[in-house]
Amino acid sequence: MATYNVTGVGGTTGHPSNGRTPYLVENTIDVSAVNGDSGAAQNDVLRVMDIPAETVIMEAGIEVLTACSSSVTLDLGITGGDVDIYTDGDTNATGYSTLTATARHVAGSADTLDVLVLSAASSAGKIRVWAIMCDVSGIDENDRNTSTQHDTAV
Amino acid sequence: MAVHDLRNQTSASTGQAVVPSNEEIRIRKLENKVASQSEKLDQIVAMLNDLSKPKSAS
Repeated sequence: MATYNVTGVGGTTGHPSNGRTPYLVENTIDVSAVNGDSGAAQNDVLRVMDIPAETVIMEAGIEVLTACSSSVTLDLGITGGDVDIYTDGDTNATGYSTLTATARHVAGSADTLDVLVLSAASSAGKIRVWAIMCDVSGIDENDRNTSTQHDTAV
Repeated sequence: MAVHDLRNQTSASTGQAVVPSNEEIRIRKLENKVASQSEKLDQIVAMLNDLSKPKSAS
């Protein structure tokens, strides 16, 4: 086992203050007004947010402003992927959903963040979905070091 | 099971929006204030120009 130093110049002088920063995105949903005021059926997907390509969702959650119908639980995640990566079976009591401990999601290509309405239909409820995102796309994805430098162990 | 697209503003959603930082809100307010004062200054200059025009003998 060897250690190769490929960190480049800079050292441990600290992080720049003008670097990319995470940003907060939110969308408030009136569940009772979904589907022509009929509300959401059980297992319906509420597509709430765009995730740009090469973006990490550092954290996301649901704030229940008004409770949904009785027995409804809510998931927050990626349809076709991990549907409950951020919120898993929230019992829709008012307040913030419990955050999961699952590893966070990086969207390699553009995707959406979705709420899954589970356990029952809901003709009531108001939720605010929030997410902290950060662009992790590279600005210099070319390897300009020589193979010799790479092959030299620290 | 249906998929409801609520990403944009609808009767059931505010639409997704990036929440600005306090610093950005402060800068936006400052920009609005400067723009407003700029308009007022333009009006004052126009009025002064009108006043400085030679008046016709009556």
